[in-house]
Amino acid sequence: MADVATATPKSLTSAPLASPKLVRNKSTLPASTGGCINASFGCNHIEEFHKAGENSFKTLRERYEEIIQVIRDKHPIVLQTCLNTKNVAITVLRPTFLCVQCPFIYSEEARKSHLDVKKHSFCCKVVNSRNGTLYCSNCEDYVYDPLFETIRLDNGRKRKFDEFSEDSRSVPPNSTHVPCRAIGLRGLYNMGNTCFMSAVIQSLLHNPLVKSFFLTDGHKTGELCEHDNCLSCSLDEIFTEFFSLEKTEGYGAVTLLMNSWKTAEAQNSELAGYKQQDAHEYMQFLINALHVTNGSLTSDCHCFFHETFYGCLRSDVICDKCNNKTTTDDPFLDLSLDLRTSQLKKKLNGENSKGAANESSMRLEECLKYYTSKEKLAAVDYTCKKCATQGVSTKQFTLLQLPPVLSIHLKRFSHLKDKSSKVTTPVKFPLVLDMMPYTTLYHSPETFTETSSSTTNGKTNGTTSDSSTGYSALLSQPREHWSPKLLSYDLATVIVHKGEMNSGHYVNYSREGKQWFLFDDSKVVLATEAEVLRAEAYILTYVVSDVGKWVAEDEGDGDD
Amino acid sequence: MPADEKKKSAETTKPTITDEDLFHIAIPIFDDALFNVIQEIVSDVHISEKKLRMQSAAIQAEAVALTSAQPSTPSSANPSSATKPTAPPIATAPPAGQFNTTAATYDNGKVTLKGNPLKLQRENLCPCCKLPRLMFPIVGTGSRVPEEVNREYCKLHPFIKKPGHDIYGNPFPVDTGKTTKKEREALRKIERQEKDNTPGSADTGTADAESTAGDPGVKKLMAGGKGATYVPWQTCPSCKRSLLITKFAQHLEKCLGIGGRMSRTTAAARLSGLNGSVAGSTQGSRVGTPTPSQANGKRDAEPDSDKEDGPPKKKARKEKKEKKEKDKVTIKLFNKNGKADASKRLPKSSALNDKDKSRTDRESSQKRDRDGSGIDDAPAKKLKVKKDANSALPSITASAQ
Repeated sequence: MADVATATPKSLTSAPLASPKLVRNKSTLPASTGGCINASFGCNHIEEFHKAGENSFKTLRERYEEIIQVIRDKHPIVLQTCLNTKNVAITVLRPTFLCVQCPFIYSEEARKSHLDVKKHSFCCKVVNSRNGTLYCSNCEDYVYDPLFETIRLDNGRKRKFDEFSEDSRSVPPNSTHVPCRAIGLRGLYNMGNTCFMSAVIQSLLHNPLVKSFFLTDGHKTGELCEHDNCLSCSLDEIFTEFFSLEKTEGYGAVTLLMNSWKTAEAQNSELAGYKQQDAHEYMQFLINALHVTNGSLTSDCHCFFHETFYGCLRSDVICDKCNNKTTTDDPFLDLSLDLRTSQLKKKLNGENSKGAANESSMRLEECLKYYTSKEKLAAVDYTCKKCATQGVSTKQFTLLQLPPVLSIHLKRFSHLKDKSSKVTTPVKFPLVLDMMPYTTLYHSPETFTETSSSTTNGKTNGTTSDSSTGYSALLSQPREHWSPKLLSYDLATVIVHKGEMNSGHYVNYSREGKQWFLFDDSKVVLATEAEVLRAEAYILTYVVSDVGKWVAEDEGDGDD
Repeated sequence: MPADEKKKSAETTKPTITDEDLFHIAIPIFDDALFNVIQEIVSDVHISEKKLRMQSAAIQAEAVALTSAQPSTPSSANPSSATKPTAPPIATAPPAGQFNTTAATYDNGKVTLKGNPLKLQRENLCPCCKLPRLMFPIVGTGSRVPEEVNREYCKLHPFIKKPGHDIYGNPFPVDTGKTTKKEREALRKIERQEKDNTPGSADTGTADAESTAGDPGVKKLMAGGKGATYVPWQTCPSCKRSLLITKFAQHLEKCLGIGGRMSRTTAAARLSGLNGSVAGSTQGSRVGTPTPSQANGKRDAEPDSDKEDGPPKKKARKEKKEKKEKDKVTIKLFNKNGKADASKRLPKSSALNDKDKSRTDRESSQKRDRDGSGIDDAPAKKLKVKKDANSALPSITASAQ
């Protein structure tokens, strides 16, 4: 994803909001002819190569595309096996280099001699992270050619909308300059017990998918919007304010608060009113309201928010007597993970013996594992439809569909019969989360081979069967060969609750690019990764790592 | 991960491998893993930095071409000039000719690099505003005073890390309600001094005193947010009252009549007295709300300063309203903006420095205009009220404006 949305023509429409300061910044330099000019080639050697011949350059490009695809699809063990200086194949952990001009992989030492001997100028580098950047031996440096970088960042997929590049050149001269500082890093004033709201809004503001939805005019505001007290319009207002003005101070989200309350009151929700609220409850409420104001109320809604936030949870109940399986699929907006029970269960079952060393802290993966593990249902809880008897049964949740934005709620507020208390168990959560082990696909792949036409690709109706990265292709491989990148999610936001059960404060850690920021109402400060990972998380938001994959597999209804 | 696999295979064949062997295997694995981590971090920085330099070289070359070619192509005029064409301009043709800079060559709209931009291009230029980027934060951790302080830089500065300050170097808002009079005066003094030190430019803002006092140039570069004492006022979208943002939720609850204790009826009763000024636009449901007999007990539940404008008794108020509605409105609003609230809010607003105050006023009046454009006659009346307040109570208004 692009780090910063630069010129958003949308902000022009809000003329009264545009700061008069914008104009003054127009530099002493004359205006550009349009667009952001960049060097045509990554280095003079690529330029020479380009001049030397159309065909050889085309081959180079195609070869690079191939390599990027190999890096994307092949198991790391393939890429880490390379030729050393003695031309012997070895497997290394360090970065290896795939030559663009011949079909070999070399170790770092062998790369130099290879380039000297063969006079091959370019080597495609591969490291464990598999970033696939191009190394130019003449420059003795990595080069970032605009063309090759596009291929690399698109992960070797063909761009669909190449034909629009001409148009995009005429956009900048026709749009107002958005201040360079307007990149959405502003606080939200606490209007009196509204920190729960600030934390949730910030998580939406810094969600790349939600951001692109609103900044590309995803919600039609003003007269085009037919909803009363529309929360999408209110949020749109904040997006416009944050991404088109040069202000640095906080913002008072008054209309959003008012419309939230009005909407909540109409639903007889507890959320309306001047008191401290639960951020999780508000997040569910807000996303639901955003979905209502953008989509249809029918059951098969394909609105942006539905497709972005809602997944599908499968619950299987198997009767122990007759082995009859009852399956129900339910949509979910977030996963609510239990922190207390899993600890108890661990002690009771003793199934996880190695975790005994550190009982006081949990890992998020453990919570998820417990959530999707088999669970005995007591006889009173379940009556089998087939054998019509009340009996012991086994229940299991698995994730049938994963949403591109996955919210995980940790149950920090426990309400038991005798007392309510806050669970302060530290939960360790990763920056990159692999969701594959918790999916239905992983637990019972046979259901997918049976009905390959069903919803398989985690988002919507699977068009994956013909795709090379499709799940049918995947299923033909043994499970341990499944690439961990298939369903990896990047941590995007951490909402933290500080304080007690009944009173406390919410803050939000969010990421812009690689930099983390702490949003504490109107205060915005830099945060380190370590600080974020130490935080006592309440709600975690993970965004799917490779959005392109989802778009490629779901070309039918791309949102932008 | 290969590292794991190696470890695993080492574990499974453990019987044949001694601890010493494992020791010899483990260390290289750890080394390689560490190498990869570092490599990845360095690579990320390299990618972003080199790309920026590449682009900067191109921008600079283009700028040279444009400056040299400008006389012949007046169409590429500065868009800030008033002569912005009404018809959307088509992308102007790039200037022809060949131009050289240290890092790049411009040739008829295409830019090619002369060598490694990391070596040849000295500074980064912003792709949007074409101004040079500051390379280091100006205050706080890792800060450096830029070589040329008086140059105009891109407004997107490196983020500042400094305790008690946000990423733009502005101090955190402080709750002026809790400070003593002495402290407020001290703050005001500091801010005034600062203002005297920064001539001109209204938007250099209130940089914090201690860190930047020695360097007026750096101060000029500061982001220019609001001072520490700045707590904005907000017009309630429902009743068009202006109130402190920090009190907004509390107000809104009453204004919308949300949440138990009959607040809806109370609010309705109070607002019905304002009907004259807030011409029906916001009332909607409230106008039609049957007002049951207003017991005094309900009003006791209200902590706010509504003793004056709240209706003592329904009947009496109605009579009054019929008799001299205009007067009433004036008094009401006057009370709201001036006397009653002034007694409460004066200390806070007086703590604002002059510049901020004037800006606040400007902004709030702008906001009012914007908000007021939707309703019929409210803004005019508000202005009128303001004038009244000026003439009636010069002492208060002088300190409040």
